[in-house]
Amino acid sequence: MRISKRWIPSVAVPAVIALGAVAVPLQANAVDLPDLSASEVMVLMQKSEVLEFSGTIVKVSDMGIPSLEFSSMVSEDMADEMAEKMPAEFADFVPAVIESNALTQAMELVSGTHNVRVYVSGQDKMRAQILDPMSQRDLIVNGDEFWIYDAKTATASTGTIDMEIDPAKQATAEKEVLDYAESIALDLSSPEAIANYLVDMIDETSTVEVGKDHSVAGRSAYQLLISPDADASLVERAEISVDSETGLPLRVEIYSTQQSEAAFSVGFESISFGPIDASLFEFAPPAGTVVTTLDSSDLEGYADKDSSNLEAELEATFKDAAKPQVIGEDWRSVVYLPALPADVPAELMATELFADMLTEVPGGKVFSSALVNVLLTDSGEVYMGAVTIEYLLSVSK
Amino acid sequence: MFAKSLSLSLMRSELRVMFTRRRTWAMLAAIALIPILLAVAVALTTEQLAPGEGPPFLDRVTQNGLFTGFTATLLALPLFLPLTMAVVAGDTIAGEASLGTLRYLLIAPVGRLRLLVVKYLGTIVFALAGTFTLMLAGGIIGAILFPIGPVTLLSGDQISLAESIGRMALVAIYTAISMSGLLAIGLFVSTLTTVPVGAMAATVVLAGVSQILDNLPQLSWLHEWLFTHYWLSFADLLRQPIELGSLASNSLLQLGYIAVFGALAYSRFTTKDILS
Repeated sequence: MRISKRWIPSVAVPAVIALGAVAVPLQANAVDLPDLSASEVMVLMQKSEVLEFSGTIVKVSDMGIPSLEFSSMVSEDMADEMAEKMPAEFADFVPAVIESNALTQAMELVSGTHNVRVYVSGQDKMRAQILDPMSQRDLIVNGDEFWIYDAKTATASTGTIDMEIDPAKQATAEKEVLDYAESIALDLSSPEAIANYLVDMIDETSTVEVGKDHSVAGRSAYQLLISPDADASLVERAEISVDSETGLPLRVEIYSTQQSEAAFSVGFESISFGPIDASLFEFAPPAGTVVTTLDSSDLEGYADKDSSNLEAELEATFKDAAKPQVIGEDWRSVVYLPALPADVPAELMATELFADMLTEVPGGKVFSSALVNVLLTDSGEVYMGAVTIEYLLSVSK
Repeated sequence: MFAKSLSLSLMRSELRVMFTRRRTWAMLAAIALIPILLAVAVALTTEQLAPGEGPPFLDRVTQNGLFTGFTATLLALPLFLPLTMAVVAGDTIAGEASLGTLRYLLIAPVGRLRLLVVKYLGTIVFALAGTFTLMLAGGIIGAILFPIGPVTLLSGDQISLAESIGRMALVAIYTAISMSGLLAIGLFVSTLTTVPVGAMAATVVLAGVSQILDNLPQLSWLHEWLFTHYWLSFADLLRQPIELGSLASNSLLQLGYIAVFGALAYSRFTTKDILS
């Protein structure tokens, strides 16, 4: 039987679409920039002074652990109701709603994919919007005033940043807070912050190279490849894409020794430079919002470096907890806590999912992911770092 | 010139047939009933929903009636809206075939391709009618039962009443675009059979399958290719500044589905022996 020519479109159309899906990303990668050495790219990055831009940041983490479902569509009441109605045999299917607090929010932000829109105008105006499905979280900084708004719960927090604070004191506070945020890897929604952190790690224990010129968010970019020499490190290499024109870090990708896909990636999907409408930074809570006013002394020195409200919340939460201690330096630094923070919700530890992720090792239990290993010793101490389990065990002794 | 006026008159008669059918009006009435039931149920209960409780937006309805349309769209999207779309799209060719009218349609100097295009455009008109009915009924019942005023967007900013109505229209258009891929699938399925109910059922099933696949994290590589993937992203139109990224991605994706299934429908319909 002869097949009619009229079937040609049915074959041709999918073929064209498949071709387009393959060819378009390839084309975007064809970029050739004047050659620079690794140190020149770092200088370019350090000199970056982009003060007005807006863009969408996409953060994807694939840590090799199941992403915890802090489902925004299911509330605690709904779960309770489901548990009531379902026959006992189906109890396992009731979504476990884990208490939402600073720590679970942080974990949620670390796992999975997030889209964040950022608007930056000058040094004292910024707005970051975490685009949740059917909801949104906003952080607005406008001069000495800041707002945090959560559409899902219709709650807002506000406060003022006291500019009169003793600069020396402020600098120390700022440093402490940033060190702390870095040590628990929280400052994760800004490619710039992570790129700066990684460049600070560069020393004689790292190899730095310039990779292939490529295109990120429609802009041509240099690629900085940083690989730690330390065997104990879980980091295989980090790739920083630096905008060839402005020096702004556009994307950071971190590869683990444990898997071939990037374990963590945060970068601009789109970016545009230029003035931003000032009205975007003026926020008045809508009617019906529960507003909390925060004490500025809790938050001094925060706003200008902040990219999410979590750090502020975490700092407030962990204020009284034992300060973490950092053992070792560079890629092999290990954070030590004398005890598990009281804030880790008991429900989380009790879930089967979490129990499955813990493996027994001599002297304790290990929570293992592509980039971070956490050792919980039998005596209750906590060691964590981007290092191998063997190294963690040797440090704990 | 002749061909153009022929197409126009064919389109006119297609729309006339569609909008004089009792079934079309019954479906639009059922669509309108969703926001009405929702608003009445919310108005009758004295219990105040806390923010974040229940489906998204539901707690806002009592403060601003305009949210009724958004909540109703959200509730109708998984099943009810695709169901009505499948009925219309599944009926396009198979319905004529089962009534025995397809032969007569093609006896007139109307090419099969032109008939397909007209049938497809007819379903798009129905999709727009459906989504606007949902929004309009929501707006009207909301205005009767609740106060209306400037809408608070997800970003916490408030927009004027006029702009709010503009956003409602945008959401209706977005949802109609979301349905266009499904309608193309339905059109293709409709060329495969002379039993309209079969084509309708198959189309609804595909919409369901696509939504289930979209929820399986193991298939995350496939998600952005599923025609249901951006359905709920209409929420991006309720942000300030408005986020048009998902509108663009959704339109491109739906165009892809229209091209693929339109081509399949063309190939199938033009090579098929019309016996009834």
